[in-house]
Amino acid sequence: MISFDEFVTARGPAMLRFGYLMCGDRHLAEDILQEVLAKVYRRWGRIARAEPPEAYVRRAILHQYLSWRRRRASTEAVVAEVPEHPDRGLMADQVAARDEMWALLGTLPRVQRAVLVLRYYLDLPDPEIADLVGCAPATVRVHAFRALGALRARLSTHLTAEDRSG
Amino acid sequence: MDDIEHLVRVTLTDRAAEVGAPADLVRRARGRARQGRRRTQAVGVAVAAAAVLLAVPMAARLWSPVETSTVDTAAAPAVEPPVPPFPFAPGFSPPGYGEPIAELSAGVPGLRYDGGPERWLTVAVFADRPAPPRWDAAPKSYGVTVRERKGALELGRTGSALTWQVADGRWLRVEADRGLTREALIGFAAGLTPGAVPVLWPFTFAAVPPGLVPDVVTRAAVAFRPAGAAPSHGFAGKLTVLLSETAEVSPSGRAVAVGARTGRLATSPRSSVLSVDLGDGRTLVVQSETGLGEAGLVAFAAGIDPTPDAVVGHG
Repeated sequence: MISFDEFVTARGPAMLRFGYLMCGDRHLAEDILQEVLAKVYRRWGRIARAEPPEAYVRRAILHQYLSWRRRRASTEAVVAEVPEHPDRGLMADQVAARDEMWALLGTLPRVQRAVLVLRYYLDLPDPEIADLVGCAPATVRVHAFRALGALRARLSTHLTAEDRSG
Repeated sequence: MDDIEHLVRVTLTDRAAEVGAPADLVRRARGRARQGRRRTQAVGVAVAAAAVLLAVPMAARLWSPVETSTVDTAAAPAVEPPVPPFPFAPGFSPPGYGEPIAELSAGVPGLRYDGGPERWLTVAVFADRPAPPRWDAAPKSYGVTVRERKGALELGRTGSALTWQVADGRWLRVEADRGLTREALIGFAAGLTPGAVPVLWPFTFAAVPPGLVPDVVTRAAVAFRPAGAAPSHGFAGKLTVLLSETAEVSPSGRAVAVGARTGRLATSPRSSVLSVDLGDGRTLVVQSETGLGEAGLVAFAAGIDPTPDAVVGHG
């Protein structure tokens, strides 16, 4: 059985990246991860024996993020404006498109953003996402549909299809 | 996958790549856990955490170099420093691509096929989702299935790339020239299973100077980096051994005895280069940018022998 220290050493960076994509803030992601790992540490023996620890920790980060967002939502500023990018070369436009997309991801409802991270970063299938988020697979599809629709509608109209392809 | 989905994917991957490894995560997680416990456990946990922080980097090292600074090539047995094998085995080799070759680059084993000009295929393993491949023009992107896992297939002008996550959390990427059809690429990817393809050394060494670890091992070159330096794909700042065709080498510097042979040693403030003609049309070139002294460099070179797996490099 893998030890807590071995797991954190090997998978800690990946877990931090996952948390960062969820919340969009490096320091907050570290805070969430530490909180989760502190809880996991106290029950490591049972967790490591019961299921792959990474799946457990990922689920815990997700729930910690959703919980945190509920507590802190009233103090957050919604990103309503995204940077303007004058005409530049292809690479610069691609960077601009990604910057704009990152900003727009921050405007999505928390569950929609979580679904996109789980689907497009971790490549998880919808039933697995549904299990993690705690909803039906059909609801996952609805969240993703609405999130993508919102992003599509708000992404600057000056971006060409080539820019959008990243 | 439409353009918005692709942009979401590359944006998330790009942003994730910006996040480096957190410092002292084990210690801080343990400390946070301790805050929620009774104080009676505090001292023991801190001591254990400190021990783990010291132990883990030691265990993570690929190998321990010979602990001597005086190389006795006559007495030392030939060694091939241990490196991890490539951790997946192909189910088959695409026709015309030859046999798989495992190599070490930036301290990480990879797999490649060399089927001749404009025919190539590589396999790489990543702990986390890798950054998107770089293309000279926007590729076409498709969602595909590899062993019941979702994969991202990109078809560029000069090559194709297929990236997916396997069940244990690792990520795999297969890249190939555009001559390999997408069906063949997906079929090859589906044939990869956990296994071990060993990295074959092109040289044996009587001894390796202490504090150096293997960073690059190909059939034509080996590079050792200082244990404290970051892994990299190149030779800068390393102790490098190359096998070249004698006709392509222009030795310079003064003559020095290298075992039973005579070599040429050229030194500069930044590096030392020792060339040794092996007498069979091949020349061993040993370059040090690690501060290894002349005596150490000559002794190291004297203990190097090419293996049957060695090939001469060009360029």
